[in-house]
Amino acid sequence: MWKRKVSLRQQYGSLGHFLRGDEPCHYIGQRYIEGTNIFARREWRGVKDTGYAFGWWLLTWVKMGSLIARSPVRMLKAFWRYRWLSAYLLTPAMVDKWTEGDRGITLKTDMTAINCLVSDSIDTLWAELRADRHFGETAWTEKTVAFDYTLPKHLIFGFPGCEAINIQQHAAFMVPLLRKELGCYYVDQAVSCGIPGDMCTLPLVETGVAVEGEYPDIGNFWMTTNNPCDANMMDNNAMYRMLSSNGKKAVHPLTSPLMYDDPTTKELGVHELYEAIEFMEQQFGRKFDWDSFARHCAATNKVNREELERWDIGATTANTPLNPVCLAMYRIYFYQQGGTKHFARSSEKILKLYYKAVEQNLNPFPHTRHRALAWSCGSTYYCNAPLWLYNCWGILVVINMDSLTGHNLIDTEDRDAMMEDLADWYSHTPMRTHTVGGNRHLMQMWETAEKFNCDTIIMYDDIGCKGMAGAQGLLEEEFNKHRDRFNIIWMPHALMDCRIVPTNEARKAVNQYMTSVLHEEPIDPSLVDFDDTLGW
Amino acid sequence: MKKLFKLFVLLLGLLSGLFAVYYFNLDMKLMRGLVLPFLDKHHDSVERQHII
Repeated sequence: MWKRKVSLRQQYGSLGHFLRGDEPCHYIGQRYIEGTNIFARREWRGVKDTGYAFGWWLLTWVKMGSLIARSPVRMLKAFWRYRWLSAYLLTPAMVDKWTEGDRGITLKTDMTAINCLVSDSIDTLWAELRADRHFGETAWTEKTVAFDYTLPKHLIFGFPGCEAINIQQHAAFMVPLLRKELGCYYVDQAVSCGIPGDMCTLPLVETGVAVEGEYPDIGNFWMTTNNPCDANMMDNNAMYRMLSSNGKKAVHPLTSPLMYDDPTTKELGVHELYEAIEFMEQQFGRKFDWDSFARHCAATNKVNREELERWDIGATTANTPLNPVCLAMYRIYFYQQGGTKHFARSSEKILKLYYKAVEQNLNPFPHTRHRALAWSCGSTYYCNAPLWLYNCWGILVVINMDSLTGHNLIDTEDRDAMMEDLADWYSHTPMRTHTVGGNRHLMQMWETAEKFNCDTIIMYDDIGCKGMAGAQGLLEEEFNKHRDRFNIIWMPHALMDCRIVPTNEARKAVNQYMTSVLHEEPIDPSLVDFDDTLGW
Repeated sequence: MKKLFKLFVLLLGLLSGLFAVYYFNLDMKLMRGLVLPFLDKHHDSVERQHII
């Protein structure tokens, strides 16, 4: 039976604080069920904000119910066949994790961003499951095709009425975000087939899903790419066998360059795009609709322009109302999906909330002691780590590495310029830009940290990433040159496998720095040391 | 008027019940205690042929 460790009187002090939810310390750690990160009670945020969060919780369940209601038999079959799909039943827990400690305008902004991701995920899951041959062919089966998940699917918008699914995105990449033990499960399945267990765990999870036969069988072709991370080469056989249905489907590689600033990159990138379009025209038996494609690029530009405005506000003021987890997830998800209707709608709303915060000079994160840049790739199973950093130590991550991709605007007036801009977009794919695309890019952290007025750099250490391991010595050398300007804190993780670096080990590394180097006291002592090994 | 009042009471009861589910995290406790173990048990029982 769960018991409060801190009494109501001790936490709130007065009825006013309780009703408004503005107590000095939220004591978030005391609400977890012992040994997990599952809440025994959801957060009391004051009357108004709890009511608001409750409304969104109801809406999330309605949306999840509507997905089942679209075809109950098909959906039940899908839950019966795909282990990974069970993770999506935990969406409300994900929302709780991503909004811990949120109040007022922050809660509103975060819920707007999360609602976009939930709605878009529901549409995407439905689009792939309704077309899935495993549950019987439908009119959608041939019109819905698989794209590699690191390949943004913009080109499909040149074929209105057709759908592209970033095939590993929902079946593999996002799974540990919602249910971390499934990352471990799929890693084990890949390793049991002889794939080395010491490589990056992301391709291991992708391979695990493939060898379990759990990718939806959609379309007649697979648009693949040379993944930006070299470890991904290990999964090529399993992925090819699964996604081409043992060679029965056509496969086209839309290659991304190793160095995005090589002088030949753009020209070759444009060539790659025209080849991919030609391949798709042959497969679909119809011409590429340039007007429809340009309209999609314009919609994507609009979201990007709004994002750039948000970055300006984030870099120069303390008024940013989007919390660091939602900021990163919203941005990364957008990179894959482009300017869909959900992003167009939510981005406008989020920008309005940013301007409201600026006009009223609101400080949505009043406990901020350090403004931080999070560099290298973060963990999936501990994707809410930036919220822990803020709630526990007052370290506010104002920007992160993965967000800084795909923000170049695409010229929609001139076709040649449009293709060049899109080639540029593809060449700046995540990881390629900052970790395995050359050390110069990796070192952009200093100028980025300066631009965003940061005094701290959270250096994520994915211990399975060979690209980053190779650069570790160089990084340490650079760190020594910048220690007078920045606090630099390594935060270890193992991307998709929470057994290798448990979340409390990641926290320990930060705790140690904050106490022994900076001699600071935690803002929320209940979050310093707790066991959440068995949670989601 | 009486019907409206009854409807109001019914809605209030429903909302209170839902709020209790929300606040005590009963939906996720149900997932943890029943739904996920049931689905996992089924998935564990399926024979898979692992081919690379």
